[in-house]
Amino acid sequence: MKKIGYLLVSSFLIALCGCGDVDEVPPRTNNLTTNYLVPKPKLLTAEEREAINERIARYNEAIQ
Amino acid sequence: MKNIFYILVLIVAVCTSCKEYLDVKPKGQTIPETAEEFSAMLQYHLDRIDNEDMGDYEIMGDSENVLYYEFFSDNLDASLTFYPDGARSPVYIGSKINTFQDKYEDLYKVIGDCNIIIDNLEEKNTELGKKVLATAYALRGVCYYNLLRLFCEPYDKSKEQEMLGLSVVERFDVEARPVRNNMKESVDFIEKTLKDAITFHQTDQTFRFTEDVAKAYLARLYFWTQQWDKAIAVSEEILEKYPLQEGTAYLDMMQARYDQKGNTILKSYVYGPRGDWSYGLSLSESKVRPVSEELVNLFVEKGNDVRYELSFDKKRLNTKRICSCVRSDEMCLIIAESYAHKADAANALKYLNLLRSKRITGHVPYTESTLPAVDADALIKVDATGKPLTPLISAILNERRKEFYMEADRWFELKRNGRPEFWVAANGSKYETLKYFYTAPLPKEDIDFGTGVIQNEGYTE
Repeated sequence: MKKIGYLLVSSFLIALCGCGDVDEVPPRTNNLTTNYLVPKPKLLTAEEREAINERIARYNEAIQ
Repeated sequence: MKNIFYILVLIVAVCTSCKEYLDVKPKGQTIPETAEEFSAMLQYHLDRIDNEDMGDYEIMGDSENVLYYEFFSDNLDASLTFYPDGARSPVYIGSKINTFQDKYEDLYKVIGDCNIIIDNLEEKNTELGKKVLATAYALRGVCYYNLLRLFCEPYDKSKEQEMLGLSVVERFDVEARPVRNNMKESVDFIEKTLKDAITFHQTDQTFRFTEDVAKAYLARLYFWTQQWDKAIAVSEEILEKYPLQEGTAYLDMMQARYDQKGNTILKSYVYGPRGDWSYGLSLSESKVRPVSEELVNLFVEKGNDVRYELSFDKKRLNTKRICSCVRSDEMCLIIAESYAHKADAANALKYLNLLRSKRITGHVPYTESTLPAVDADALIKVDATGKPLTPLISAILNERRKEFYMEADRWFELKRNGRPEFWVAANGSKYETLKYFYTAPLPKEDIDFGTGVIQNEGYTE
């Protein structure tokens, strides 16, 4: 009976040690799951495509 | 059995008592005690400014950070990107907007360390103690200034009491979840912190954030917050101490990879190891996108302007050293623009012409009647106060754009002067830089924590 008592008390004391390092600060969550959505890109209109092509043409001419 | 029991009791007593032996305030860390230990805490952050392998994403910004701000702006033409090499570069600000949440946290980590030093350093009267304290104040001020420019809307004097500012944290407290102060309170705090740094008159360059650096950031703060008289006063003081360079001395300064030369007040990579691998990657990446024709066309004097060939080659590809630095040329333009906003054209022209005279061979000074007309097609339409551009302000902004190309300045100039919306093309799609993108989102975690921190406009999901 005494042995059981010693064992129970010892186990309880060891358990106290084990619980001593509980991290009170919750772990940080991964930022990949906290991204804000940005508006999806739109397809270029014909006019916009033309403007870009003119820009590219001006660039190619300028570097010759 | 009894002996085993007593041994177990002894072990438990030791284990539970050791938890209180170390003075633990920051979770998982110990508070330094000596000035040397506090200095080591600072040196970690200072080393990151100089060592590209360690990465400085938030204090001055390493070469990749600087380059990405150029990508976000209209200095480099996203619509002309060369693929496939250009595929890994951000198309526009939206590609990287969420990464600013990490930058926010990183800045507050640096601030936290500075607060620990300011709160706990007891050796306030030794030489080392003073240097450490001065640097902690200066670095804290710089971090808060960076936070202000990134996470708050551009300054509006008429709304400074209502505008959202920053969560001002003056003492380290791991449990604290402060709400956002208003803009005026935030600006006043940054001003006080930088002035506290200046009182130490710290001149040791190895601590990087000297008295002159703190003053330069104070000038920047006054300029950003439209306190024109104060901006002029501090900038003139710095300019007198660091006169502008010209000719070969200017080129030498701008092309120096590691040395801090001429009128440079602060620069990255000065004290770190000599190695080019990540800087080299950024320099290569800068060539996937030609310089925009609008910026090229500002160089009216072409080869007579020393910056023309310094900045790009005949294919309009970048040739300038990617620079994260503070130099007094900026102070000169701060003075010019501040006088312009005060309607003092004579003094504004004096400083604008001063800078141009150091850059352009055969320079002919501008007068009020010879200033170029405002370009109606230019992206910036209004000045920092919201008024339509005048020829004088337009000339100053254009000079600044040429001077600080590839130095992470243009993006913030767009923000400061009206936050113009614009679009770029990539892979047949249109990517729009919207007004709210100029103000980065606070970490979603902080908002979801439910302590009342208000998110910036536009970020709702």
